[in-house]
This record gives sequence, structure tokens and C-alpha cells, in this order.
Amino acid sequence: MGEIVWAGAAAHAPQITGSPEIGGEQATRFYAGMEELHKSFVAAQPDIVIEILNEHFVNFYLDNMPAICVGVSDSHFGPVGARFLRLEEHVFPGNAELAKSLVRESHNSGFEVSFSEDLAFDSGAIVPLHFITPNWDVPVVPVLINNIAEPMPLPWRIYGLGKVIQKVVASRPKGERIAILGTGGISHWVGTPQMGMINVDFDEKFLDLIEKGENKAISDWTPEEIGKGGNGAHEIRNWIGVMGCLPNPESRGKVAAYEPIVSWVTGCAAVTWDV
Amino acid sequence: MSAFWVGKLIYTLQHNPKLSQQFREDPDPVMEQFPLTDEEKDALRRKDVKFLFELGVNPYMIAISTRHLGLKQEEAVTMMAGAGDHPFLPSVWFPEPPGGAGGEYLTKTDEYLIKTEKSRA
Repeated sequence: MGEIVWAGAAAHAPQITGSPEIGGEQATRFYAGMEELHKSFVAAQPDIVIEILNEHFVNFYLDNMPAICVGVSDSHFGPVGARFLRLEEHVFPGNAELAKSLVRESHNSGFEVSFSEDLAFDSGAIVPLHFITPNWDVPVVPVLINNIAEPMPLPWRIYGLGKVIQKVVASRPKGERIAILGTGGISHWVGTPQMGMINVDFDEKFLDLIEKGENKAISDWTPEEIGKGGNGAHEIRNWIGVMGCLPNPESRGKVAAYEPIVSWVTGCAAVTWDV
Repeated sequence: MSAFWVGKLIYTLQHNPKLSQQFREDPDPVMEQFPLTDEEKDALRRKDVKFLFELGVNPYMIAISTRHLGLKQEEAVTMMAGAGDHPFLPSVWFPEPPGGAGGEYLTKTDEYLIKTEKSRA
């Protein structure tokens, strides 16, 4: 049986790689936090990383919006159409076998997830991977959650999806080491008159609960409560997915960095959980 | 839905740099390819993101549109100041089913999974 050897989450705002020069000292501290995540990830020696993320109208538009979509290819390409990220395009390895078994186990567990045999990666996938797997050498299984267009899946259901992922990991070959990475958040507004505002109280409450191991409480937040952190805060469903994967649901999170960076329009956090 | 087609235009420009270039040089022939109202076409010509927001274009799509309309993000945010609520709030657009959140057939079990009679297909 496989094992979850690392669990973490980090912001994926495009300015993180695209506009370092406007982030100031806060950016420096955030980058230091990402480097901590990178170090602990490498130390955990994962064989595969399951990335729970959302994209931003790259693969899907409103004529076809999967609530949950698993990338079942052995490779993923990106970033696509995103020169502002200042990242080179390349091919990321995937793991079709694990991805397909995740789709199957999801269907067995009451989640009719979608799948794609050709997902392009955008900032939602690549920005954190740029720090955590800079050599793109760890296969990525992407699990896309719709966090950008109403109606979005219920947060507690994504927590349940994390429990399905635990079952899949348990079915993997003995000794296989799996990392879980969530991306996005925390408080931000995108494409609205409030863009640039950050609800720091929201972010601090969120991270405080994580530090206390009260992950389940967050999974019970309603979409209306989450919306107080901005339309961008809905990305915390990805974090809630990671929480559902934790073998100990009350595992405490360690905040490597939290910076509300106005020039990046985002409350940027980097967190790992004990596993 | 008009907001759908405005967003679809922007989605298409985002995936087709050549078409985006053509749009910036002369938007009309590109807009003709989409079922847009005269009001919507006029708003795009004027780069009126506040109109697009109030029409209900998805905010992420509005953020993406700035690249193709030739606006900085900050400019777009300033232009949207004072905009009314986005029409596609959950309570308005997709009202809760009569059974309330979750409905009668969806049970939040201890394991946050649905209980089914057969565990495997």
C-alpha cells in the first residue's frame, strides 16, 4: 500500500512568478516560505504528486464546466498562452495509471468526476510547481476543481474527495510515496471592482484554524462564508481537498509564509501539514 | 445568454493570438463572428468593462479580456468602480432546489461520502 508522505498548499497568483519586482519585502518572505515547502517536499522523496487545483478558463469555458476533472494523461503541457508568467513552456510528466484509478474509485464512491486525456496547465498548476518541482521531475496527477464559475461544488464534498484519494493511495504498490499539493487562495478578488482588496481577517482566521488542526471546521464553511474572502477565495476548495487527504484529520498545519501582497492582489500563503 | 457569448469571444481571442491581434486592429470583423447585440459590440469597442461586469461576464473572463482590449488590470478595476452586483450570484442564478441545500437524497455521512447500497459497480 502507498503512503502519503507530504501534504501542502500554496498560492498560485500569476504575479508570483510574473511580477516579482513589485512584491517588495513581502515577496522575499513569501519566496522564503516556498523554499521551505520545496525543501520539505524533497526530503519526503515523493514518487508522485497529486495536485488539487483550479484553472482559469484555459481548458474549459462555460459551455463545458466540469465540477471535478482528473487529468489522466502521462504528460501535461504548459503554461499555455501565459507569457505574463515569465515561465518557459515544457512538458510535465503525469501518471495515467494512478489518475485513472482515482477516476474509478471516485465513481465507486459517489463522485461522477470528469476526466481529460489532454489537460493544458496554467498558473493554477504551474506557479507552485515552479518552486516545489523546479526540474519537473516528479509526475503530477492534476485534479481540477471548478472554483471560478457558479455553481461550484460544495466545499464539504471536496473534503470527501480527499478521503477518496486516501483510498486510492492505500491501493497503490507497497512503498509508493505520494505527495498532495493544493493550490490557490487565499483572499483575493479577480475581475471585480474589489480587485486589489485582501480580507486579512478572513485569511488569518483560515490559517489559525489550520494551525490548530481544525481542518474539518473549514470543510464545513458555506460558499457564502467563503465568498467573504473574495471570488478568488473559492479556491480554498483545493486546500479543503488536501485536508480531506490527511491520514490524521486533525493534523496541524505549519504556515511557512503568509503575506497579504496588495501589488499581487492576493493574500499569499504557503503551508504544510504533518503527515 | 449574452454574457456567455461575450465571454466566448474573449475565450476565443485568448486561444488564438492571431485573432486577438486582428481584434485589436479592427474589432468589427471579429465580433461579427459571434451572436452579439449592438450594445455588446459597442461596449467592446469602448472597452467598457463595467458594462461587461454588469452584463454578467464571468469576472475571471473580464480579467482575461484586459489583455485583448489593451487595458491594464488597474485601469479596468478603476473603470468598474461603482458597478452594481454581478448578476450571477448563486442565490439568483441557480436557486436552491426545494429540498434545501443538499436535498433529500444526499446525506453528509461521517466520512463525507454518500452511502450507497452497493459499494462497487
